[in-house]
Amino acid sequence: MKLRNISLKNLALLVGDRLRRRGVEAVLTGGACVSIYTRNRYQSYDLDFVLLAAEDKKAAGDALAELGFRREGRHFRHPDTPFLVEFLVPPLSIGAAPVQEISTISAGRRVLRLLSPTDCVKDRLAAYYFWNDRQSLEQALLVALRHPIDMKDVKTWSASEGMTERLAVFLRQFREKKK
Amino acid sequence: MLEGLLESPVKERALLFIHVAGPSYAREIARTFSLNLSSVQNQLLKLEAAGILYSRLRGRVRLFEFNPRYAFKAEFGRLLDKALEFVPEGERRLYQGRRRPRRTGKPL
Repeated sequence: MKLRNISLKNLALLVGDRLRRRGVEAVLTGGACVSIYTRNRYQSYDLDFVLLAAEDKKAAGDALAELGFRREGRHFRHPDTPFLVEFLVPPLSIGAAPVQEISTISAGRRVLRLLSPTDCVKDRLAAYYFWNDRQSLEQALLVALRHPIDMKDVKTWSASEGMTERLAVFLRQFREKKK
Repeated sequence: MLEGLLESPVKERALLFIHVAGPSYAREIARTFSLNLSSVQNQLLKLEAAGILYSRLRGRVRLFEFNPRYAFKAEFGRLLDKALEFVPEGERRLYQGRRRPRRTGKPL
């Protein structure tokens, strides 16, 4: 299949659709969700899908092969697009907490399952908390400023991860940028 | 100790070594336990693919450590603590190699 000039969102929808057709349950996570929720204010080139069943790895690879992707190590690459696809093994979690609610977006008959905006913020904050990655903090802010976020959930989760000091940095910058 | 669970003595030693010593590279684990280097590398890469470890390059060395984002990190750490209690005293010392710095040029 030709994928020239396909956007990250449309590619994610296409892959999500092909996975669903094969009965593979997968959820888009990571920076790709930031791209989708910020309309590419942050441009990711990685589509990280977490499989809900580890045994679906082969079926997921077959679905990509059908679209013309080739495996390169752990990633899948297509000659028409710079985007890389990777399938991660379960569990679908953010830090020590399982993801409870999965969001969907759709276009036509295609449906993509992805982290909710709140979980996307927590996912980016996890990278900031654990690896002190400032780019991830910026990405969390970009999403939080554009979508309703359950801040109570973010605070509870941050406390459970022992990260209240770094949460304070996020909240301070969030309030400043929101003014 | 955990071979029945992990199905590989190399994997068990690598995990216990990183648990005790912190960020480690394949060659030092292989050297410490006289293991085949490629077996150690293979197990570390499997653990990375499973999200249990992550790695980063420091200079030309790839260091592996526990992934702080792994959902069961705390519980798995406690399991490894328990397993360490059963490691014979002589072998346990192998997990505790020197980690403090040594000044450049200082004779051993």
